[in-house]
Amino acid sequence: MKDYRSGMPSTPPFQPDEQHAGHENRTLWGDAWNRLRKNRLAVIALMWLVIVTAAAISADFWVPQVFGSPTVFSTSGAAELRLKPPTLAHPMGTDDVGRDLFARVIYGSRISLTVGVLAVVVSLVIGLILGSLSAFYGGILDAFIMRIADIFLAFPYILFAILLLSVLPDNLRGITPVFLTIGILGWPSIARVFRSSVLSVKENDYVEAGRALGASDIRLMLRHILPNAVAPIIVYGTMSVGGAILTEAALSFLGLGLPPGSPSWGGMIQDGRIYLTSSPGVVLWPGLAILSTVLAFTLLGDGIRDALDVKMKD
Amino acid sequence: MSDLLRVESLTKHFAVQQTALGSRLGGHVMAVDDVSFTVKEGETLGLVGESGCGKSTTGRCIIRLTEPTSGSIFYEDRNIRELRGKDLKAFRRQAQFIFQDPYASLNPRMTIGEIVSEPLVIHQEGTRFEQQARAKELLDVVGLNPEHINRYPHEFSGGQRQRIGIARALALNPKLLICDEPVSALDVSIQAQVLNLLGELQHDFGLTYVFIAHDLSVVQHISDRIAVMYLGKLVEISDWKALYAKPHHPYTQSLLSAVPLPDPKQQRARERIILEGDPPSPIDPPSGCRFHTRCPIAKDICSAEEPKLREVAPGHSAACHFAALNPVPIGIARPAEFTPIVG
Repeated sequence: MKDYRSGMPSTPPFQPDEQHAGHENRTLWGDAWNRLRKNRLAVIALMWLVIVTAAAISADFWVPQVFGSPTVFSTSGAAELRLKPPTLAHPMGTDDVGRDLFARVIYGSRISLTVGVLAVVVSLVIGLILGSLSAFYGGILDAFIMRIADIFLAFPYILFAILLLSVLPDNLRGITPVFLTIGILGWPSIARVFRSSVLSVKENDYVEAGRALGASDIRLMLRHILPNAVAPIIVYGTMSVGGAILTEAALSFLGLGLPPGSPSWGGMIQDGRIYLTSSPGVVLWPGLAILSTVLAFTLLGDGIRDALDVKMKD
Repeated sequence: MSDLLRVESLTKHFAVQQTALGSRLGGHVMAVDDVSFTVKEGETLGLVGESGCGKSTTGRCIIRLTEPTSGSIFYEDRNIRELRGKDLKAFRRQAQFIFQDPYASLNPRMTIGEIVSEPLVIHQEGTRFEQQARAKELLDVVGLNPEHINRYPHEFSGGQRQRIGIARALALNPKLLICDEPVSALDVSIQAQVLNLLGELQHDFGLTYVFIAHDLSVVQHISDRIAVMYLGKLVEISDWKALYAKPHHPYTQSLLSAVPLPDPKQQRARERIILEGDPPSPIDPPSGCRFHTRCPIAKDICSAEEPKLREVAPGHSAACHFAALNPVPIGIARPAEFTPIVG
């Protein structure tokens, strides 16, 4: 080893730097979580979403027992129960047929969260697959997928959803067609964001290094490109949940979402619209629920974007 | 020693513009044009030239990261351009690549243990435990602490990252390493360490290197032979001593005159050949000899006829009409016995 081209000193023993001692195994995701925890607005948003989700999941165990069923209303003595202002028994009052508004808002969160999250999942599945194929293979496939995305984006979003949902027979109405419709209409934006992100990541030498090692396309995609390209999608996806909730509310308000009588926030606003001046609570509470939840998703998405931005490293 | 690698008439053209539907507009960049050379087993071939001369493209073609437009590349007498599937994967075990930028060549979301053992995972070598042990061994070989196996690349400096890249390239015991400017992104003091490491590894494992650099003072340390490229063409190739002592091509002469000499007296006495202008565009290269637009000794024949690469001395070829007449350049004083500057 020493006689290799005389005059060259051998490599000095390498001194490891200890500046990271105590931060053993710090991952980039771990760093991002630490930054997110310092963002007060994002933490409040996250806590609000946790509360709403917990209420939605546990609703069956306490809401009907304490406040009454959100859907069934009694015909006897209904008149006294109609459109009551908030009391201890009914913290948000009652609606026009005497159902407890608080119970309906809680059950409405089930519908809104389910539709919001599942719609984004549908968009993500389609958008991530098509976006990555488009960016990874390029050429004609890329052109083809992106032109289809353009066609989708050229349609007015709500009109397209109305068209799809209005041809649906009445007996099929429910949560599934609503989130499928919203999800299918949402994929082009996800595909575009992910495509541009993959395009920039795949130029990196570590992808080439993987290729030079003989890695398959699937391995390159899943191991090298996806983990580095997914950050913008996490941000976009989080914010899209809020958008999907809004769309569901709009569709329900237009009477195209869920069957009449189901406790959907948009549907509740539609039902209570005519009592707006006499009992504003009927519209106000579900409206506040939509506002706070959508705002929470947007703020959380904003916080995640800042947390994932390495340039803002503390 | 036999030839491990033989490159014959390698040519790579890049289309300048591509429309969405795949049709091509505009011209082609002649990145590499009719380049031929051989690399013997166990030796180091230095590939030198300024930015954009096609040296990296040549290296990438050799390990099939870029598909050549035409020409053949023989590795152990098999044309690697014809390799598919299993054979290509087997070739990948033999030839590896070291990248220029140590900040871009390591996946930031993988630990260095995962990075170094990835070749073993891809080629299904050994159990997880054995892969882990091999990764530690490799880190030790390149002078890193094997205990750092669970750290992430961002916790390391440029020189350390380059060592990780070298460890990854060594994982499958390759015979041939293409080093694409492996030290040009590093500090000078770190450059020497990494060059010495590469030298030791070559000695210990009998590696063959194709060492790409834009800096003759870096390649002189490690190369047995040196090939000089200009605008996609090979202009001179020779044993390193002969090239430094008697460069025949005026381009090589100008490159050598830019290498600082350690002795200030010699440095002052030397006449620098300063080339005028920028290299011409490789989209529309000059007629005849591609160097004639900047050549200090160009004559009429140079713009009319392209000089062929021909032997001017045993094992020393140059592509210049006046190569034989122009053996000792003016003002390039090379010490007969060269001593390294760095280290």
